[in-house]
Amino acid sequence: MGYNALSALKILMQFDSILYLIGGGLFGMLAGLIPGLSGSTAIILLIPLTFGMDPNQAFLTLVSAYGASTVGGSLTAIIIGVPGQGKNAATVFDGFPMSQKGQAAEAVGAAAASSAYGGIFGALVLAFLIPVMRQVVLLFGPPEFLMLAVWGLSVIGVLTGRYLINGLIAVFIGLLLSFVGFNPVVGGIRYTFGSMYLWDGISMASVFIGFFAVSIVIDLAIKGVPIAGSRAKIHNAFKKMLVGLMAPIRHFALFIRCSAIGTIIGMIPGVGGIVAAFLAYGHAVQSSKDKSMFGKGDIRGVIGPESSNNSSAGGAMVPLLAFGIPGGEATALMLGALMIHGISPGAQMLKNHLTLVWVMIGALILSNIMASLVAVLAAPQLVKVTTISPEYLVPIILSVSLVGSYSFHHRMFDVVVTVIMGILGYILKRFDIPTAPVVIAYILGSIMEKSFFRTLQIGRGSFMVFFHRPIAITLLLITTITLMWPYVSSALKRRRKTNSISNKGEGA
Amino acid sequence: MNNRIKSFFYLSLLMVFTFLTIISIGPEIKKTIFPLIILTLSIIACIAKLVALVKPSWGKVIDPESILEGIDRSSPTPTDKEGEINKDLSNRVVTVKLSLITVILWIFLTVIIFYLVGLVVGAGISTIIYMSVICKEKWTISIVTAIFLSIAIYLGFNIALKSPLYPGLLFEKLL
Repeated sequence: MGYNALSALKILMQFDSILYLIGGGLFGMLAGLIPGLSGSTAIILLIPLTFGMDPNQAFLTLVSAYGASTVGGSLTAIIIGVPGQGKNAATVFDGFPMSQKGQAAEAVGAAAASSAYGGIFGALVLAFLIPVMRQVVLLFGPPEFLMLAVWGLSVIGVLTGRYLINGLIAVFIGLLLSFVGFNPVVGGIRYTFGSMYLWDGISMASVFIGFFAVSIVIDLAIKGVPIAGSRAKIHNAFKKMLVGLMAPIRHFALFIRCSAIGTIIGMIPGVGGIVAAFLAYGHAVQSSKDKSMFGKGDIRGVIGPESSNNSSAGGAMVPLLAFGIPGGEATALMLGALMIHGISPGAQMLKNHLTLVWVMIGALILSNIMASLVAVLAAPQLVKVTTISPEYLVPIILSVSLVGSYSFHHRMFDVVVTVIMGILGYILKRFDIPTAPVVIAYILGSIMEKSFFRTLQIGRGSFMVFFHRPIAITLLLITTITLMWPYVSSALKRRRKTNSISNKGEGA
Repeated sequence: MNNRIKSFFYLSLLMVFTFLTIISIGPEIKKTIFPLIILTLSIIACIAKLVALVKPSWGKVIDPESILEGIDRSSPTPTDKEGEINKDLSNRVVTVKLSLITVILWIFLTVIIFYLVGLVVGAGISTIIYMSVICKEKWTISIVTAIFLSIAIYLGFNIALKSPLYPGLLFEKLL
């Protein structure tokens, strides 16, 4: 493993690697800065560019964009009060009031430092978990992988939707999209409706780009986005930024606790950086003796969410690399990109592509440091990006996305499918059906189907095989609890409400 | 969005799932056995959702809110009880809003243009249509943006990535 880490270090030190790191990082940061776009948008626009690259260079670029995007989003959250992406929403609570009080430089410094340290924290946890992951993955066979995918999708379905059933419907739609074309195990064509283009299934690039880029284009064009005026200014920047940069050190215990929250939350499929940031903010408030300044510009309200949302990126890579279960949009895209490059996450990747895993960890660390440095040095200039109107963004993103979907298989049919997927994604969002589970389920669909048939082969056609395998049965139990929990918690809430009403009635 | 529109949507979804189930059942059922399991679950989920929408009193029991529903994922507005906070520090302006039909028509028009004149030229034409015709932006600005975009796409894909792009029906015949 040490040899692989050294090889990765060598790759990271090469001149072209540094260029890919800077390019990917800056692109991710810009996408993070623009409200309406996100790290996922950056990844989706970059994936077509990585088709011809060596996997190390490709994932260096993609992971850099992923790592740096969160730092970009924190700048707009602090300076203009509009979070670049959902992950940075909690930073607005105290970051923007700090900016309004003339402490923008300090807040930017604190956010940059917390992001960098948080990102490093998450990546280091990932690095330390690799040896453990290798041992754990070997215990998993097809029945365990099937149950793990079922559990992962249940968690994603239960947590990402506004309502439980909406999340589950999203998962089912994604799975059904993955079934189009050849059955990977028993053969035979399904759901192609006579189209030869669909024999190989719906192109992965079309699903990704449709759901994550075209649907965003439709959303941007219809809603418009808040464009900030350029009056936001940062005075006496350097000195105050230094104070901000030292803030996570001054509040070291808080920083460590919030980074740990982010890493652990990141590991749970479907939860991700948004929840991690809000939980960390809540923790920062609850654990502070003096709560009076929270919401009015307390630097601890910036350190908490920023360290947490950046460390969650490292955490989210754990289930992705070990089991091929993506936790959210960005890691789903990363899984798709891995598959496009012919790499299957899991035991094989941890055995045959360990250098790539280390390159990804290195890219995560370096991109966070680089983005934080850029944020500190060029915050006022970077914020001007938010003045770019959707009138420019919409046609540019649509054209690049559609060209990207074409370049995957060089088929115009894929462009049409991408547009259809985009419209479907937009419609689903309008009806409160989250799109991330659709894409994650689409990716996991074929893996699940293969595991399903292999499990049946192991059990000689009997489903009882699950009950003879302790890990599979444990995962089945956890899945049942996951699916039942919203019902239990909702029933408990109703009971509490009824009790309090009856108590009030008795009191009166 | 009212419950009637939502119900119509889930009813349509239910019809799609039912149709897929019917075409999955046949002599070669082995190849669709796993999709059939998922389709059965999808139909159950759709019916449950419809019941939850039609009978709101049952809705909360059948379709509870997500555990994380309490967490605000939208852009929050900071609390600003202190007098020293300057409200006008940033002036947010929401730019042009378009109707869904306009946007969808423009996207389909873009695909047709791509088929006719290829991806490089098509990207430029689509940009001009969006910026100048739909959003009423100045022609000079939209033409300059379109030229830059087309050049960037050509250099990025055709030259740097050596990934030849579709030339379009028109240019394919001319060439």
